[in-house]
Amino acid sequence: MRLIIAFLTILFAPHPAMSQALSPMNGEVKTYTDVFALQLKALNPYDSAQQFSVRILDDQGAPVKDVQMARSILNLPPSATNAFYIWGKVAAERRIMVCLTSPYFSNGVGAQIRGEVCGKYHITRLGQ
Amino acid sequence: MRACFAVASKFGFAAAASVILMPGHVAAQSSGNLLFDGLILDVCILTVTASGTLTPNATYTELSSSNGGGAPGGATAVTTSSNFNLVIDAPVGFSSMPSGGDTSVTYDSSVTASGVTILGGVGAGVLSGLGLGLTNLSIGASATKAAGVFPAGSYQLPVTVRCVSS
Repeated sequence: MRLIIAFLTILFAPHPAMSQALSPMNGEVKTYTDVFALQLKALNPYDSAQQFSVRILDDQGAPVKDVQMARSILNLPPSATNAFYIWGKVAAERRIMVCLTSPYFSNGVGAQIRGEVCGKYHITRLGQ
Repeated sequence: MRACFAVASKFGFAAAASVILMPGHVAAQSSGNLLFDGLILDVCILTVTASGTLTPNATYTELSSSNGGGAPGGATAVTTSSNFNLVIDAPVGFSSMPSGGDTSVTYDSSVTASGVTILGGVGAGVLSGLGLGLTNLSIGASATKAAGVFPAGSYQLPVTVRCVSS
């Protein structure tokens, strides 16, 4: 039930439709309980379908294990936007970073380049 | 009008009265204010436009995108604010290479930028602020062998370019 309430808190927040790689890329998240949920949107800016991966890190860049998501791999058609959710626990406050990573692009003769965009989020439990 | 009465009978007199009175209420106003809401979110769109090409030097001790025939990788970053930093990771090793190709090898990468951001050969791990708008990125990479030469074969060197909210 607490998780549902947290989801509703986020879903009722305004989410303008825009084209971007990851939106929002920073945010203050308030929750009335010890759980939080965050809705993010991923965009595939390429003109071909791509498989993106999602990483959740702390503010020092170390992987976070207690923040969950339904799927860490997003298969997006060209120019498509897809919403995804992450959720976890918060004692009083915490800072996390969510990174959306493209596959490596390669021409087969050298460097493989991949792009990654990382948003930062500050979660605060109200009343603490 | 028939539809209006149908609605009135369905939802009652109060609803019908509201519908009938509304046009007169609007007409009585001599002026009004319209409120336009606007919101620009902080976003960074990073798009890889070209992967790089590594070629050997004359002594086959270095594979680099800056050697003859080599080419840097390319990417663009579009930002809606100046709240973003760019960083390029140091390569950790080849993802594919012939046998012995990764022995005694050190790796390096760098990025140059043009457009709303000007960067010249910034090394791996260094955060650089991105300007507002379109930045064109050129990503260089190299691998240097301290002992021996690079054996013949196909090499792939992964490099990550990252846009981070500040």
